[in-house]
Amino acid sequence: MKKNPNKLKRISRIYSQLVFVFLLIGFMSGCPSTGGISSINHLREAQVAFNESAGLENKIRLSGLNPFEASDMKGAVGNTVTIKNGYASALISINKIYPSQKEQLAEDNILGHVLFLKAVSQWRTGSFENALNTAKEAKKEAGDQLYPRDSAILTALSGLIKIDLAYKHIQKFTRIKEYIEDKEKLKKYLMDNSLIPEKEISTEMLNDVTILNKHFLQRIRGRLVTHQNNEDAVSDLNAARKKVDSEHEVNLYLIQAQLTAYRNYQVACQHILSHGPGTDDKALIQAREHLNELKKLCDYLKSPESTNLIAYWRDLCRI
Amino acid sequence: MFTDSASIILFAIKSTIKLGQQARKAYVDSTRRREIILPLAHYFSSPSHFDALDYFNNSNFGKKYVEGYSLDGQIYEGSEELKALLEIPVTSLSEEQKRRLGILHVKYVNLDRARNGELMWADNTGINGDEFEAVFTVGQWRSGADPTPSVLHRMAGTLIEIGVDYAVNSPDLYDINSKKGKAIHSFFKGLENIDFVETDISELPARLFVATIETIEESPDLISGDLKTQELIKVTTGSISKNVAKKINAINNDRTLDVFGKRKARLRVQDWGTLLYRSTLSSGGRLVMSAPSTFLNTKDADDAALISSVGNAVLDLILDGQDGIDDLISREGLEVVISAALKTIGEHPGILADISNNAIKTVISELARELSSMENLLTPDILPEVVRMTLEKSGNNIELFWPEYADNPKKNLMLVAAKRTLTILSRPPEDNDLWKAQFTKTDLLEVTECVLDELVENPGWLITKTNELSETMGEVLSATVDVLRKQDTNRLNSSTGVEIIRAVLKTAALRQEFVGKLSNGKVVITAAVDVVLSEIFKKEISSKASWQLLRTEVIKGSIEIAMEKLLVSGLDQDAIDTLEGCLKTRIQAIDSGDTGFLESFSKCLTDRFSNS
Repeated sequence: MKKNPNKLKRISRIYSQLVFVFLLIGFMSGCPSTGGISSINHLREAQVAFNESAGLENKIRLSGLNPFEASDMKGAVGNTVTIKNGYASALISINKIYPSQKEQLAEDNILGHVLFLKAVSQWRTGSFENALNTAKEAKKEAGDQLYPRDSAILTALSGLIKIDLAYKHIQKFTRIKEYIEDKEKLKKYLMDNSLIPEKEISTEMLNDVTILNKHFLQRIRGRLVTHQNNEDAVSDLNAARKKVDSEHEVNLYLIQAQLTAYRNYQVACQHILSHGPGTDDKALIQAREHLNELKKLCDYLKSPESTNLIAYWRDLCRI
Repeated sequence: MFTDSASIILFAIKSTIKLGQQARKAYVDSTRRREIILPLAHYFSSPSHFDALDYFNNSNFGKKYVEGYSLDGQIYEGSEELKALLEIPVTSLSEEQKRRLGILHVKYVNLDRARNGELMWADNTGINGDEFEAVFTVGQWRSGADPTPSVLHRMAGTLIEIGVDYAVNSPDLYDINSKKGKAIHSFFKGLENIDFVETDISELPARLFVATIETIEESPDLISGDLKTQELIKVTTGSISKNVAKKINAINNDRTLDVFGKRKARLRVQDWGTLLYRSTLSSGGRLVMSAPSTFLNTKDADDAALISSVGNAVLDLILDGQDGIDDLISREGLEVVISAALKTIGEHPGILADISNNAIKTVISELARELSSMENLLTPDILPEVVRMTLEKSGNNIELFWPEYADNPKKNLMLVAAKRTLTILSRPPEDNDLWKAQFTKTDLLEVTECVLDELVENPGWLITKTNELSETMGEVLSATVDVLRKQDTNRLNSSTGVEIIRAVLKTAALRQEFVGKLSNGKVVITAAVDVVLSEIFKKEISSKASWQLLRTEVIKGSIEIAMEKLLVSGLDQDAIDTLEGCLKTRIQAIDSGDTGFLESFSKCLTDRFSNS
């Protein structure tokens, strides 16, 4: 039968227009049959904002600078604002969808990722307690929706926060000489800055700076690198590493996070002992193992940056 | 086959629901698996003087530079400066001494690194942070272990379902041995290698799928089922999809657009991408049959075969080019542009060889810019036809008309001529002009085509020795339009005006003296036209004469006769006077009963010019 081309054309046009209109209505406006995508778009905005801040923060730090210290580089203030705004922006985007669209997010199997992003954004904005609470909430509310990378990072979060806190405490502790002559002021400074809890502060400690130094260093060591009670950052990060396949790329990050824990401990030693950890210090031996693991993983993943990355940590930490 | 609108509506609703659901799932998947940059916690990233001291006191690192060492049989003394610095208690080091330690630390670490073939520490003792971004950019699953289906995988499932529905009405569509079946198979092969993972392509595969089915149904002759057609579909699908995906990615990463802006931009990209896909398939079918090796050979790693290069060039132009260009190209016009561009490039593939796509893009964008700037142009949608003419006529003698298409694509004589023609024709009537008719779309295209044809047929009088477009053509055209404008009549319609212009252009090529100037500064040929029209439209002529003269065929015939007879004249003021004399006498003769004006006018001119 001969086809009528005009009719065919007309029908085709009707079809095209209909598909377009229906797709527009169904896909974009979020009718019940197809589900909305506005929540996903907010999540994607949060991802972009988070990535931009994280990328900038890493870039500055790996360049040997501190992104949050104005004395380190011109424009550091601007960077600080940019980085913090990005993380805050990520949180704002997430707050638009959680908890208001919790059920839809759970139905989409993406609630775990939303809570992951919320927790890490809170961490980077300095809301450590909120970050840990969100991590707990993620495990409780969306444990079955936590996928490998997100699950590992949420497990690592407590360790990462310990590294951040140790960094802050070490910086604060280097300033105790300003208070050393006034015991009351010294005690208050130690307590106000959470350097040593009140119950642990003794008169001997306040009278003898060597005892104070030793105590502080032990606390830092316990928070960062010893396996005592598995409460240190390195142990938390080890637990996170166990959450994923040993070949997962997230291990590159987690191992380097372990090296940052060692680096902060090393600097604490330098300030207190005037030199870094001794050659028999288990933390140093452990850091050396981590560097080897990093090298092996880089080789396995054929990471083109491996040589320079290994050299970076080797020379910064002398391991 | 669908035969009524109701079936189409039902089919569209079913398809939409299925596609919408799968597209959304794919979008969620891609969001969940999206790479995240993981920030390191705070750590002391700047080496201090303590680090320098540790380095120089460590026998595994820098101690050798203090104590001295031997390498490859050569003895190196230790640094005296370092020895002195290391003897100072750390608490007693001055700021300058700390600074020196830092400098020596960097120096010797770099010496170590140079010996190991590693990169140097930067001045600030760090590394280039950009280099390591990839290390901290982590996907949800390890490489190769992502359990979620790819976007295409998800969509493909749904496409099959839709296809099954369609096949109920068109069973041969999915018979792999049928022509249509082979075409559909090629479509999926084209999508196979596209990485849609990080792209919100939403309904693009579905749109292209529907476009493929429709093109097959609309143009069954083109789908021969042979390998060339299959390759055409595969290459076009792959190439245009990649370009669309790339553009959608750019939109998604555009921080200047808000959510709504991004959505609108994504839809626009997909809309045009689908249209170009259809146009390429339908225009490309016959061309591919005629020269498969020319059109289907891929030129680079992106599978940018010639057949899809044009579509992508036009897509780039519409989406990335000047604002408003899409208003100038109607959707139907796209096919005209694609078809003409493919034909020209097929004959001269070198156009795309050196600077990919720029030549074609330049022609289109230059014409678009010109048309956009013509405020009084009533029909800007002539762009596709003008592009077609420009490209096709250029192809007649590419070496002459478009010699520098690679290095200077704007220097296309056809392009210049078309622009000049349109500028002259679209010039609005001035206050003192008497004939105020506007040229229609057809008029503009006819004159433009006539000018371009003249260029092809008689390049001698329109192209200078330096291979530029002669000013003569513009002057003649402009003067002719001026003559038309000063005629005080409403009996001259624009299409007759176009006929007159055509006659002038064609005649002007026959003798160089036609475009010469009289002592009063007027161009000979337009002076002749002026005389003819002025006499015919003279207010004083009788109604009896008007009755006979003011007919289109007489006006047109008078001009043609005048042009023809003038050829044998001296083409000077005497010839113009003779022309005027004949006109006057023959018009008066009408009042005396002459009913054959054109014949007597012709005879009068023949007699007088042969006697002169």
